Amino acid sequence: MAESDPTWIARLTPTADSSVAALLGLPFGLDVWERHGGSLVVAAPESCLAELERRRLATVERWATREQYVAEMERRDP
Amino acid sequence: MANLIARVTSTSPRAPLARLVTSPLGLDVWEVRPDFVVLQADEFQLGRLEAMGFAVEQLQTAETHLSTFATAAAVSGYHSVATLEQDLRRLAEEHPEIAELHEIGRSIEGRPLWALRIGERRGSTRRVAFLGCHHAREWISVEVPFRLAEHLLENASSDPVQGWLQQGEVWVAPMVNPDGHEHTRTQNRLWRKNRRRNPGGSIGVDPNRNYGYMWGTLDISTSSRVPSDETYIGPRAFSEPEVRAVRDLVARERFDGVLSYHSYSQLILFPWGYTVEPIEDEADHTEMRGLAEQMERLIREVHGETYTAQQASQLYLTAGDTTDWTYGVYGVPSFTIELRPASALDGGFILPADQIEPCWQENRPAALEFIRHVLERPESSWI
Repeated sequence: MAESDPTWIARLTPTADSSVAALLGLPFGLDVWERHGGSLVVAAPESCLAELERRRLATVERWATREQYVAEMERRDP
Repeated sequence: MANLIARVTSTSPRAPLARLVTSPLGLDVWEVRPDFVVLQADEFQLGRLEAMGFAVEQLQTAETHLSTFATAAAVSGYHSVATLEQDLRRLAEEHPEIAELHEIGRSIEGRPLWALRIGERRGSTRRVAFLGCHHAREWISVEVPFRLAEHLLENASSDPVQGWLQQGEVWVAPMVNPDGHEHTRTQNRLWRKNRRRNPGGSIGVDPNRNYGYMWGTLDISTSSRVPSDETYIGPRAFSEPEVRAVRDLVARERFDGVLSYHSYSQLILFPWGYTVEPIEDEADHTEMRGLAEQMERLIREVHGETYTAQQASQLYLTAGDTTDWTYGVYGVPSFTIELRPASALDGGFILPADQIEPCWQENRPAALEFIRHVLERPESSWI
């Protein structure tokens, strides 16, 4: 993935017009890490997350880029 | 300005080391020895120390130090492809009367796929299989089945294990995707798929979408036909050598139950994954749901952790996964257990190594109950 399109670990919360099932049904190639009643945790490129926002399918909470996430989690390892 | 780790010494009476520790330079002192001090400081601070008469030897940047140690800590305790092979060989050599290591196939990059057969071979017909690490980044899914094999062999002369190994066999294949696992250790910790080179330049097929039951019936994020996607199902069912190796093992040994470990989310999943509809056969559905709930209780009793029993599609829809295939084609109890942790914020796929042991401890009674259930089942339900 190009640096201009970093992969994020993010929480997706469907908008009122959407649903978790609808998000899962999209052909966006989401790497789904967690499914909750009202949200998903995914790894996805910025371009994909921006498209979800542009189409008002989900609000996106970007937690960390993939690299930041790995560094943070490995740092926590005692 | 970069933070640096440095060793500071002094031979100058105008710059005694004792003064260094108490100096108001805002130094982050890590280690104080009679003849040197190790500290973290920026370039400006180190320049000041040199101007004061101290000798400064830069060891490494703080970032390098952190990544080195963090990675070392994260890797220690987990198997690599090589150490797993060593340990499986050791188990087989230490218990030659009941353990036998089988190469069940080779990965796309040519690495052997190992399965340990455990049992006395007294003409037994009952067999149960435990699989691990279809997905490369799920390191804990190697460790739990490996420890299960170790436990069975260490307890092979006392009941109930002895009885099980007399009446049946347990097969353990802890690492179905060694190429991907190696890639996570050396290149990309969050790699998921195998290392197939796809037409178009992307890499990897999701081994847990490549089995031949209802393969290709979905085209969604969680079972994708796009080669660059994380859940790429492959060009055809059983296109991947790792998956064919499992297929051939299952076809040859005719297991009476299959349990495949994954991570994370702490779930106990039973078929179907490809549809939200429940299994049609009510007896099978009752049996698998009941066993999943029993395993959920057994796991919770150990450390209080909750692993939720549910139909696989309640997590999300998947077509071509292992347990849909083993149940769909062979009709045997089939489960996917998603191991620790519960969430990404608890580490996600990067489970700290100090969690391996408690994770194994809590999964041990569930795994043993699965063995008991399958081997003591009144009759096989082979279709």
